[in-house]
Amino acid sequence: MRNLLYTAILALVIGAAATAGFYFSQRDPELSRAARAQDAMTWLRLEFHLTPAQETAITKLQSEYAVVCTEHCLAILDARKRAAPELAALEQTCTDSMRKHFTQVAALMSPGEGERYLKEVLPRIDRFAHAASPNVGVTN
Amino acid sequence: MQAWEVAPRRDPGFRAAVRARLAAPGGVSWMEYLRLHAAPVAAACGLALVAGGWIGHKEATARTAADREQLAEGYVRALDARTMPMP
Repeated sequence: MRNLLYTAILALVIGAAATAGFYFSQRDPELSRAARAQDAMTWLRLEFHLTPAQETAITKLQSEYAVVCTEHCLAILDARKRAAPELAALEQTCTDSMRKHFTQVAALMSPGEGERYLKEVLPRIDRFAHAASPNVGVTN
Repeated sequence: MQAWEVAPRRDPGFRAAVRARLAAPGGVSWMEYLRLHAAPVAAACGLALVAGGWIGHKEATARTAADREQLAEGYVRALDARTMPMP
Protein backbone atom coordinates (compact mmCIF):
# COMPACT_ATOMS: atom_id res chain seq x y z
CA MET A 1 0.00 0.00 0.00
CA ARG A 2 2.84 2.33 0.87
CA ASN A 3 4.53 1.60 -2.46
CA LEU A 4 1.29 2.27 -4.32
CA LEU A 5 1.04 5.61 -2.53
CA TYR A 6 4.61 6.52 -3.45
CA THR A 7 3.89 5.59 -7.06
CA ALA A 8 0.74 7.73 -7.09
CA ILE A 9 2.75 10.64 -5.69
CA LEU A 10 5.39 10.09 -8.40
CA ALA A 11 2.69 10.21 -11.10
CA LEU A 12 1.22 13.37 -9.56
CA VAL A 13 4.62 15.05 -9.46
CA ILE A 14 5.22 14.14 -13.12
CA GLY A 15 1.75 15.47 -14.02
CA ALA A 16 2.32 18.71 -12.11
CA ALA A 17 5.75 19.19 -13.67
CA ALA A 18 4.29 18.60 -17.15
CA THR A 19 1.49 21.11 -16.45
CA ALA A 20 3.95 23.76 -15.27
CA GLY A 21 6.40 23.01 -18.07
CA PHE A 22 3.83 23.27 -20.85
CA TYR A 23 2.15 26.28 -19.23
CA PHE A 24 5.30 28.36 -18.94
CA SER A 25 6.78 27.24 -22.26
CA GLN A 26 3.62 28.02 -24.24
CA ARG A 27 2.68 31.32 -22.65
CA ASP A 28 3.86 34.49 -24.30
CA PRO A 29 5.75 36.27 -21.50
CA GLU A 30 6.01 39.55 -23.39
CA LEU A 31 2.26 39.59 -23.97
CA SER A 32 1.67 38.81 -20.30
CA ARG A 33 3.93 41.67 -19.26
CA ALA A 34 2.10 43.98 -21.68
CA ALA A 35 -1.25 42.94 -20.20
CA ARG A 36 -0.01 43.58 -16.67
CA ALA A 37 1.43 46.95 -17.68
CA GLN A 38 -1.66 47.71 -19.81
CA ASP A 39 0.70 48.47 -22.68
CA ALA A 40 -1.38 48.43 -25.84
CA MET A 41 1.49 49.39 -28.15
CA THR A 42 3.39 46.24 -27.21
CA TRP A 43 0.25 44.26 -27.98
CA LEU A 44 -0.01 45.95 -31.39
CA ARG A 45 3.65 45.24 -32.12
CA LEU A 46 3.45 41.59 -31.11
CA GLU A 47 0.00 40.80 -32.45
CA PHE A 48 0.39 42.47 -35.83
CA HIS A 49 4.12 41.92 -36.29
CA LEU A 50 4.99 45.59 -36.62
CA THR A 51 8.39 46.63 -37.89
CA PRO A 52 10.12 49.39 -35.89
CA ALA A 53 9.22 51.87 -38.66
CA GLN A 54 5.55 50.83 -38.57
CA GLU A 55 5.51 51.06 -34.79
CA THR A 56 6.98 54.57 -34.86
CA ALA A 57 4.48 55.73 -37.51
CA ILE A 58 1.53 54.24 -35.60
CA THR A 59 2.69 55.77 -32.30
CA LYS A 60 2.86 59.19 -34.01
CA LEU A 61 -0.59 58.72 -35.53
CA GLN A 62 -2.03 57.72 -32.17
CA SER A 63 -0.49 60.75 -30.47
CA GLU A 64 -2.16 62.96 -33.07
CA TYR A 65 -5.43 61.16 -32.62
CA ALA A 66 -5.24 61.62 -28.85
CA VAL A 67 -5.71 65.36 -29.42
CA VAL A 68 -8.80 64.75 -31.56
CA CYS A 69 -10.09 62.22 -29.04
CA THR A 70 -9.69 64.71 -26.19
CA GLU A 71 -11.70 67.32 -28.13
CA HIS A 72 -14.47 64.79 -28.71
CA CYS A 73 -14.31 63.77 -25.08
CA LEU A 74 -14.72 67.32 -23.82
CA ALA A 75 -17.59 67.98 -26.20
CA ILE A 76 -19.35 64.77 -25.17
CA LEU A 77 -18.85 65.46 -21.45
CA ASP A 78 -20.17 68.98 -21.89
CA ALA A 79 -23.21 67.74 -23.80
CA ARG A 80 -23.86 65.11 -21.13
CA LYS A 81 -23.72 67.71 -18.35
CA ARG A 82 -26.20 69.88 -20.19
CA ALA A 83 -28.23 66.88 -21.36
CA ALA A 84 -27.88 68.48 -24.76
CA PRO A 85 -29.79 67.05 -27.73
CA GLU A 86 -26.64 66.98 -29.87
CA LEU A 87 -25.10 64.24 -27.69
CA ALA A 88 -26.05 61.47 -30.11
CA ALA A 89 -24.53 63.40 -33.00
CA LEU A 90 -21.32 63.98 -31.03
CA GLU A 91 -21.07 60.29 -30.19
CA GLN A 92 -21.60 59.46 -33.84
CA THR A 93 -18.80 61.88 -34.75
CA CYS A 94 -16.60 60.11 -32.19
CA THR A 95 -17.25 56.64 -33.59
CA ASP A 96 -16.79 57.84 -37.18
CA SER A 97 -13.50 59.41 -36.15
CA MET A 98 -12.39 56.17 -34.47
CA ARG A 99 -13.22 54.14 -37.57
CA LYS A 100 -11.22 56.56 -39.70
CA HIS A 101 -8.29 56.41 -37.28
CA PHE A 102 -8.30 52.60 -37.17
CA THR A 103 -8.37 52.50 -40.97
CA GLN A 104 -5.35 54.82 -41.06
CA VAL A 105 -3.52 52.63 -38.56
CA ALA A 106 -4.36 49.52 -40.60
CA ALA A 107 -2.97 51.22 -43.71
CA LEU A 108 0.39 51.52 -41.97
CA MET A 109 0.52 47.78 -41.32
CA SER A 110 1.37 44.98 -43.73
CA PRO A 111 -1.74 44.23 -45.85
CA GLY A 112 -2.79 40.97 -44.19
CA GLU A 113 -2.07 42.30 -40.71
CA GLY A 114 -4.04 45.48 -41.40
CA GLU A 115 -7.12 43.45 -42.34
CA ARG A 116 -6.76 41.33 -39.23
CA TYR A 117 -6.36 44.46 -37.10
CA LEU A 118 -9.58 45.96 -38.46
CA LYS A 119 -11.46 42.72 -37.83
CA GLU A 120 -10.20 42.83 -34.25
CA VAL A 121 -10.92 46.47 -33.40
CA LEU A 122 -13.89 47.66 -35.49
CA PRO A 123 -16.51 45.37 -33.92
CA ARG A 124 -15.43 46.60 -30.48
CA ILE A 125 -16.50 50.20 -31.18
CA ASP A 126 -20.17 49.34 -30.88
CA ARG A 127 -19.74 46.99 -27.94
CA PHE A 128 -18.61 49.49 -25.32
CA ALA A 129 -20.65 50.47 -22.34
CA HIS A 130 -20.53 54.26 -22.45
CA ALA A 131 -19.87 54.73 -18.75
CA ALA A 132 -16.71 52.63 -18.57
CA SER A 133 -13.36 54.35 -18.13
CA PRO A 134 -10.26 53.75 -20.25
CA ASN A 135 -7.47 51.81 -18.65
CA VAL A 136 -4.82 51.14 -21.26
CA GLY A 137 -2.20 53.57 -22.49
CA VAL A 138 -1.61 53.73 -26.22
CA THR A 139 1.63 55.69 -26.38
CA ASN A 140 5.14 54.56 -25.65
CA MET B 1 28.72 -34.04 -15.96
CA GLN B 2 26.73 -35.21 -18.99
CA ALA B 3 24.71 -37.48 -16.82
CA TRP B 4 23.81 -34.69 -14.45
CA GLU B 5 20.21 -33.53 -14.70
CA VAL B 6 18.63 -30.62 -12.96
CA ALA B 7 15.39 -31.63 -11.42
CA PRO B 8 14.19 -28.82 -9.18
CA ARG B 9 11.53 -29.67 -6.71
CA ARG B 10 8.28 -27.84 -7.45
CA ASP B 11 7.16 -25.57 -4.62
CA PRO B 12 3.36 -25.22 -4.78
CA GLY B 13 3.42 -22.31 -2.32
CA PHE B 14 5.95 -20.26 -4.25
CA ARG B 15 3.48 -17.84 -5.90
CA ALA B 16 1.51 -17.38 -2.71
CA ALA B 17 4.73 -16.66 -0.84
CA VAL B 18 5.73 -14.03 -3.40
CA ARG B 19 2.29 -12.39 -3.14
CA ALA B 20 2.46 -12.45 0.63
CA ARG B 21 5.89 -10.89 0.57
CA LEU B 22 4.74 -8.15 -1.76
CA ALA B 23 1.69 -7.45 0.39
CA ALA B 24 3.55 -7.47 3.68
CA PRO B 25 4.46 -4.07 5.14
CA GLY B 26 8.06 -3.40 4.32
CA GLY B 27 8.03 -6.45 2.11
CA VAL B 28 9.82 -4.92 -0.87
CA SER B 29 11.50 -1.63 -1.35
CA TRP B 30 9.83 0.95 -3.57
CA MET B 31 12.53 0.52 -6.19
CA GLU B 32 11.85 -3.20 -6.22
CA TYR B 33 8.13 -2.49 -6.45
CA LEU B 34 8.71 -0.21 -9.45
CA ARG B 35 10.81 -2.88 -11.10
CA LEU B 36 8.19 -5.56 -10.49
CA HIS B 37 5.37 -3.33 -11.80
CA ALA B 38 7.33 -1.57 -14.51
CA ALA B 39 4.59 -1.67 -17.16
CA PRO B 40 1.68 -0.25 -15.13
CA VAL B 41 3.95 2.30 -13.44
CA ALA B 42 5.27 3.46 -16.81
CA ALA B 43 1.71 3.68 -18.13
CA ALA B 44 0.56 5.72 -15.11
CA CYS B 45 3.53 8.09 -15.40
CA GLY B 46 3.01 8.42 -19.14
CA LEU B 47 -0.66 9.17 -18.62
CA ALA B 48 0.20 11.78 -15.98
CA LEU B 49 2.72 13.34 -18.37
CA VAL B 50 0.22 13.55 -21.23
CA ALA B 51 -2.63 14.79 -19.02
CA GLY B 52 -0.39 17.35 -17.33
CA GLY B 53 0.94 18.57 -20.66
CA TRP B 54 -2.57 18.89 -22.06
CA ILE B 55 -3.77 20.85 -19.01
CA GLY B 56 -0.70 23.11 -19.15
CA HIS B 57 -1.22 23.72 -22.86
CA LYS B 58 -4.92 24.55 -22.36
CA GLU B 59 -4.19 26.87 -19.43
CA ALA B 60 -1.46 28.69 -21.37
CA THR B 61 -3.74 29.09 -24.39
CA ALA B 62 -6.56 30.43 -22.21
CA ARG B 63 -4.21 32.83 -20.39
CA THR B 64 -2.80 34.16 -23.67
CA ALA B 65 -6.30 34.62 -25.08
CA ALA B 66 -7.37 36.49 -21.93
CA ASP B 67 -4.28 38.76 -22.08
CA ARG B 68 -4.93 39.46 -25.75
CA GLU B 69 -8.61 40.20 -25.14
CA GLN B 70 -7.81 42.55 -22.25
CA LEU B 71 -5.27 44.46 -24.32
CA ALA B 72 -7.46 44.72 -27.43
CA GLU B 73 -10.46 45.87 -25.40
CA GLY B 74 -8.39 48.41 -23.46
CA TYR B 75 -6.74 49.67 -26.65
CA VAL B 76 -10.04 50.51 -28.33
CA ARG B 77 -11.56 51.85 -25.13
CA ALA B 78 -8.63 54.22 -24.58
CA LEU B 79 -9.33 55.80 -27.96
CA ASP B 80 -13.06 56.07 -27.43
CA ALA B 81 -14.10 59.52 -26.24
CA ARG B 82 -17.49 58.15 -25.21
CA THR B 83 -15.87 56.11 -22.45
CA MET B 84 -13.81 58.91 -20.89
CA PRO B 85 -14.56 59.43 -17.20
CA MET B 86 -15.98 62.68 -15.87
CA PRO B 87 -13.11 64.93 -14.68
